[in-house]
Amino acid sequence: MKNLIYTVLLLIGFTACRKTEVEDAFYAKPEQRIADTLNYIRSELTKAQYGWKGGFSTGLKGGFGFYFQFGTDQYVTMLSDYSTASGTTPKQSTYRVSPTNEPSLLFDTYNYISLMQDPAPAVAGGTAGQGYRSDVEFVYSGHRGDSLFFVGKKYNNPFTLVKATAAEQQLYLNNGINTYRTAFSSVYNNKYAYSYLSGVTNLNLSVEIDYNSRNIVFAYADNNQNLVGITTVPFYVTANALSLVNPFYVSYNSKSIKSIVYSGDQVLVVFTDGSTAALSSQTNPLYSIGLSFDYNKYFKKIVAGPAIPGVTATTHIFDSVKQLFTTSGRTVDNMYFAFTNSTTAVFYIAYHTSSSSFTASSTYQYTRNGTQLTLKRVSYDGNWDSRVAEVAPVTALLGTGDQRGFVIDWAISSDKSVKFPIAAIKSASNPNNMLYGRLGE
Amino acid sequence: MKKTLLYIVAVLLIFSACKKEEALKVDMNKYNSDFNAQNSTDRWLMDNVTTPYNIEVVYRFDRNLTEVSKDISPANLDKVQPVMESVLNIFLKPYEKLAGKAFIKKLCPKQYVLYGSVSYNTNGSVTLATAEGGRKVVLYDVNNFNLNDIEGDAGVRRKLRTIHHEFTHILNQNIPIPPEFAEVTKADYYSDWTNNTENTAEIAKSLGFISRYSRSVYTEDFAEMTAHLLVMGQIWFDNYVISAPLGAQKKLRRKEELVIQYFQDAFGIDFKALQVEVQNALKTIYGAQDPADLTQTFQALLLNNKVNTLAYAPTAAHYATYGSSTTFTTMWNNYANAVGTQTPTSNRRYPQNMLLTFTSDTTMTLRVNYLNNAQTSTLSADYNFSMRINPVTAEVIFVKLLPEGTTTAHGNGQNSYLKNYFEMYLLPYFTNRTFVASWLPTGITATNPLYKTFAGFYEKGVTTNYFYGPIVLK
Repeated sequence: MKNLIYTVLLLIGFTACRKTEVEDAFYAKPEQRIADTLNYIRSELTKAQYGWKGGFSTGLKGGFGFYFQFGTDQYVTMLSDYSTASGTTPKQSTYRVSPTNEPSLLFDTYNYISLMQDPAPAVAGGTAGQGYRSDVEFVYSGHRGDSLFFVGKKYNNPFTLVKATAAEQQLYLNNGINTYRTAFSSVYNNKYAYSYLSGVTNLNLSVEIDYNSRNIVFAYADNNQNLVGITTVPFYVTANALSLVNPFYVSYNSKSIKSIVYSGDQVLVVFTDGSTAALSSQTNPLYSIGLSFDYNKYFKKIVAGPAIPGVTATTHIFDSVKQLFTTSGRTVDNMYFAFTNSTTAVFYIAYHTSSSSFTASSTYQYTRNGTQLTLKRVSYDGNWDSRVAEVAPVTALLGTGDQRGFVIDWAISSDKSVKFPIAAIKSASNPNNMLYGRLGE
Repeated sequence: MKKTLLYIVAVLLIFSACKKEEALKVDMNKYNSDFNAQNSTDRWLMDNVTTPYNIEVVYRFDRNLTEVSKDISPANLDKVQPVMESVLNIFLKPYEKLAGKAFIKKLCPKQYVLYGSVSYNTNGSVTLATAEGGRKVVLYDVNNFNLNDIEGDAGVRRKLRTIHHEFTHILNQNIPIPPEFAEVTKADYYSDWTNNTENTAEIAKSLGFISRYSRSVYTEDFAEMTAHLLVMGQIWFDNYVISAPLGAQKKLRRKEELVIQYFQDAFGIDFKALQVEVQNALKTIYGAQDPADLTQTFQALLLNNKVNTLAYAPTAAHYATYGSSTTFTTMWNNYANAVGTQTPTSNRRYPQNMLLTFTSDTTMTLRVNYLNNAQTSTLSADYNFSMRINPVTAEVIFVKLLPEGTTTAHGNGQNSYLKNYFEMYLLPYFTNRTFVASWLPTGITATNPLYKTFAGFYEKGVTTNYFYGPIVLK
């Protein structure tokens, strides 16, 4: 037994110094590879003689676009589609390509990118403490062709930089972002009502550009006006296109839509392969409201949002309820009308005072026949009762227990910049008495 | 033996096995650095802050130097130099001058970190600065720094108050706050200091605190006291104290004493001289101005029971020089005339002049000196009033005090041949309006040697109705 131990000890002794040559799985040591990546990014950024264009999405407000010129002195000059002023006045700040954890591009003093990240709502809007949920640090994730890809360090929003051409640089430096935005919206607003793309058998694609939220809603519908799918994509304005934020490209006709441009009187979608297709227009949304808005359909709610201009109605119910709450010293956070199951619908309001949050709701029994709707209030909660004066516009339309007839229909705005579908519950006896708003899931 | 030998060999082999002599080869030239270019801001910071004081200024965004989980914006490049210049002028240099190079080099925070936005807390409040371990100061909200807005939230005074506040913490970490300090307002510290109903600025003041924040805990109280005294200035502090209730005034004065004492005892610094130095920098470099000195106003003297009398003699020369109010003069003449022409003639007396004696900060005695019926001797009639003074607006309200006093002069005043006319003319004049205490007449300006030797009262909103006279201080 002891012999065995000695033998083992001896063997350990002899093997102790045996060195095995380790073959690197990668071509060099980590610090060398980091250094190579840093040098690659630095040289790419600074040697692009016409600068870079690019954009990212944010967590709370669509996409934002930029034009950059990176200098070897760690200064960067930029323009942005954030506002008219930022589209024409260059802003200089410092940047650095940092080895922190992973090779990252840091915009380390204040510039247009910091606006979306600024946690103070007074600066650019957004939420206190979060801004638009955006980053100033972007982790490098790769490159392809003339593009560099980054991802926001905290909020993981993709950020793509594409080398600009000489012509694009000229456009950018001559107020190109603002010029393009104005020209595009002039064509899109005036020549199109509800725009869509067709060309695939039994599948059309509606395109709703919402400048305010910086998103484009793409909705697929079949020939029977059934809503098949819907996707919301952040976009930003460049000097020659409305660009979808990479990689949120939208597929249609076996191709991917990467941007939307105008040409003469036409608005075209541009696919990644460079081909284009012109949008068509019609006066109503592509899909039918009766087939898409129900307790078991894609849309279950009509939600209150920012006031919708251009709709003719006896009372703008959401807006006036909001106003009444404000007058009483309360703030409405969330408000909607929803079909909750096959027989029940609810009108729901979440609001707060300076110290506490509350919800108020009233419940309706309904029957539906296509777009014909009858509603009858069956119950309401205590807060609804105590806020009876503030919810008066709702009870005036939907009643307090008597059965009333309604029609579910689209409302049309006379304001040409409003491109999203407006859902309405219209009184059967007087269609101008209606509750209208955006559709919500 | 053989076994033992074998054993020794084996052990030796194990221990010797991995002995390596060669040095670890790391080429630091290949160290991956963030910064490869120095800009003009970097050079300025190096020459003015880093080299002389050994202070690092981190103005380029670094998530790890603040709370990593929060969204905080980077500083604006244009704001870095102005912010650090104000730190130099209003913080580092005054201390250096008063306490010496060694003191400031040893104790000043070694790292300043600048961020552009405020840092939001979960309770909705925002953090403007933090100091950690006596070494690091983080300044937030640098982007709102505005040299033209001296008194505002983004102005130089507010920012430097924060700097001085944080530095006081560092001093306290080296030499603790004297225990007496915590005793002054021991019962009134309140951790939920942002509470808008339980801790308003007014409540904090009435309890003897310099700010709402100072109520949170005595260490913050001490830092707030120091920062306010240095950066807001003595006049501001005196104004603050005088506008507080008497009980709070004593507590604030006691805290002030203890702060001055602490700087002397702990570091041998003349706090008053340091205050002058800080104020000089604010005034000469940044154009700051002292607030109007409320302690030297007439109402402040009255409130502090410093005024003895105010005399009105209708024939005095100064009324010819500086004018008088028609409303008041008419009232007085009507009164004197009515007393002197009443019937029966034996009732007639002859009012000569009037003297207001301020018997306390809330009471006043109005004396009318008059000649007797034979016009051979002068007698006095006294009437007691209560007096309420607003320290800020200087508004004064007189109310008749009853029952009347019991002195002979009070008794004289109760004689119907005087009292009837007092009630007809003087009483309504004094009690039917709100007065404003002021350095009257307006003809005596601040440059006149007579300034502040005369004072008076005018009717609120009616500057043409006033009376004044020479005052005698207690």
